Amino acid sequence: MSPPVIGLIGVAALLVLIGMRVPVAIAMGTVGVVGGVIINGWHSLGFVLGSQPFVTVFPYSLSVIPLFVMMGAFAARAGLSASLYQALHALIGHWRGGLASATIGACALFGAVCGSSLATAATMARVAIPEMRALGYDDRLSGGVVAAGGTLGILIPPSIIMVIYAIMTEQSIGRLFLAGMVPGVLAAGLYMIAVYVVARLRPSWAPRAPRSNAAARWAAIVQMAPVVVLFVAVMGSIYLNIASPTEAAAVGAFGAMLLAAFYKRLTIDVIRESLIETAGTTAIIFLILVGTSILQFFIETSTLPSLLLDHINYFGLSPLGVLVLILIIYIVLGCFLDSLSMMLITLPIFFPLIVKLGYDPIWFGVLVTSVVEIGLITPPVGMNLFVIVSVDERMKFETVAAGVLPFLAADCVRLVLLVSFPILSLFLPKLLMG
Amino acid sequence: MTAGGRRCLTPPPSLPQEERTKKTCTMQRFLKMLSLIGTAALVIGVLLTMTDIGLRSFSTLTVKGIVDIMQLCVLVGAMLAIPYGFASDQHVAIDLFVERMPVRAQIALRIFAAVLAVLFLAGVFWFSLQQALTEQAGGDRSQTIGIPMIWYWTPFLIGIGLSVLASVVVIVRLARQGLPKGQASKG
Repeated sequence: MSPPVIGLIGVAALLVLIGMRVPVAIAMGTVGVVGGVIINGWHSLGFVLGSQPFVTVFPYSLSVIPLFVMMGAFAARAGLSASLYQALHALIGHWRGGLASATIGACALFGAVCGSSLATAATMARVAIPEMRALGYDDRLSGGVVAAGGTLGILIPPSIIMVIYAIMTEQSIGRLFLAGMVPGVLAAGLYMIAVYVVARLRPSWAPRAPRSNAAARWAAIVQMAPVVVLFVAVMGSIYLNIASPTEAAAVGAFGAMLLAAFYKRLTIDVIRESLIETAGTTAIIFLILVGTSILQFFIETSTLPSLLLDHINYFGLSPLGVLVLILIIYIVLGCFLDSLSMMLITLPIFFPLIVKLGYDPIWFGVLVTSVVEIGLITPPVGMNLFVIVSVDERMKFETVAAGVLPFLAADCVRLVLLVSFPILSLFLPKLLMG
Repeated sequence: MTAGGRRCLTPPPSLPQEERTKKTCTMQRFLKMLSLIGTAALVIGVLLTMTDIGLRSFSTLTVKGIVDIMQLCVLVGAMLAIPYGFASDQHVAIDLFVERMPVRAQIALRIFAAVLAVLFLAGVFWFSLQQALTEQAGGDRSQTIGIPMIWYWTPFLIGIGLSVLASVVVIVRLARQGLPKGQASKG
């Protein structure tokens, strides 16, 4: 049996193991070890199990992950979401579908200091859904808007998924963050348009809120200031070369703690919960990274990506056709796999392919983040949908699943725009980093 | 996907309720405490990094070897949290297909997954231990301030070793008591 065939069988075995509820990291590691031994012999075992796992978790560049996780954990408990929501409520709540648009805006701003979609969705659900319900919003719109808005957490930098992509593919974290800015703002804008369309078609779903006076609007702007300052401190320190991404993440974590203290939320319980969340998420990510590195070794030695490339050439598929095919595979996988696992399982196969086809890895990173984000709201395993249902007892899964449909349409429009116009992603990195 | 079971596993029915809860939660409490201690290392890393940035900005001073120290803090923080993930079923796994199966099949698959975890992690532990001992014998140190590499290997080995133990305990409990409370309603 040739190595590429072993590689293909390995990928199939991996999907079977994951379907059997084997933890994704263990499934990747096991398949990587067995496949690696079959291809390279027993002597490779010492390297695969003895060096590779440690070498994976040792680099300094990985420090950025727990620090951004910590930043998000403290930000989620600092009361920032409520402040942002109230502020945007005062500013744009009187629009058609204004509260839903305010939720999108608050999610975008909160995502800019949180970096996690699940945390953004969970935090905003607690704040926004009761307010929208009190004003008579339909649960489909309020549930859908929070689920979709939550996804902005991984698209708008700093994003943990982007950090992991950058580390895995050896790309610049700063460049990738910049590349995600315009698509993130575009996503928020398209979501607001989706809200507007829904509110036009079904006015009873989104009653108008009364307009706030000038004093309340000014107060709202002041209220948003701390979050903007934290975002600027993190991103600014990277682009002004004051700090490396890891140091910027430390600034973010420290800043989020200070903000929690500023809002008088830095209690012992909050510290303990934030640290437990940081520990849990970091452990999950690091173990998956270990599994991925072993799987990657197996996939590389199987030469499966080269075989795929040969077949693509044989069938005469255009590079754009391959890219679209890959994105469709991501969207389908997103219905069944969680975002991190999906990205890490597929990158060892797709990334070499994309590079060989001559695509920009930074642009591909933005596309991957975008499709991974769509997977968070596609049933049956759209994690954000589950988060909304678990946070709000009155919300049913079917209700939220129906509510996200207009936002999924907005996501598809955004994806088409990002694929058609790479400049949307690459303009800022080229302008600011050359 | 599952992530975040913070409850303790179902205690053995032969013990009084209070004692059962106490016994079965001891391991998880210990591992949770260990993960908290690990995260404290991360907080120290954050504070040292902030100090370094502050010193650099206003003087010619720096925290010497901050990169080496940060690497150590992250290894301690990440690796000591991994065993708690196994004990509390937090590591990412896909429930979608399995949750529709009969309870017995679910238990069998969970035991299979845990056995696979034990085999894989035990392999990582054994070969990593050999590598760590080799590096210690060679006197390997970190690049900037010469921290012995065994300091980095130690949290790694503790994390992997305790994960093996946690997975073994999970297997025994699944075999004796079935699915954890609240997870056996479907199928």
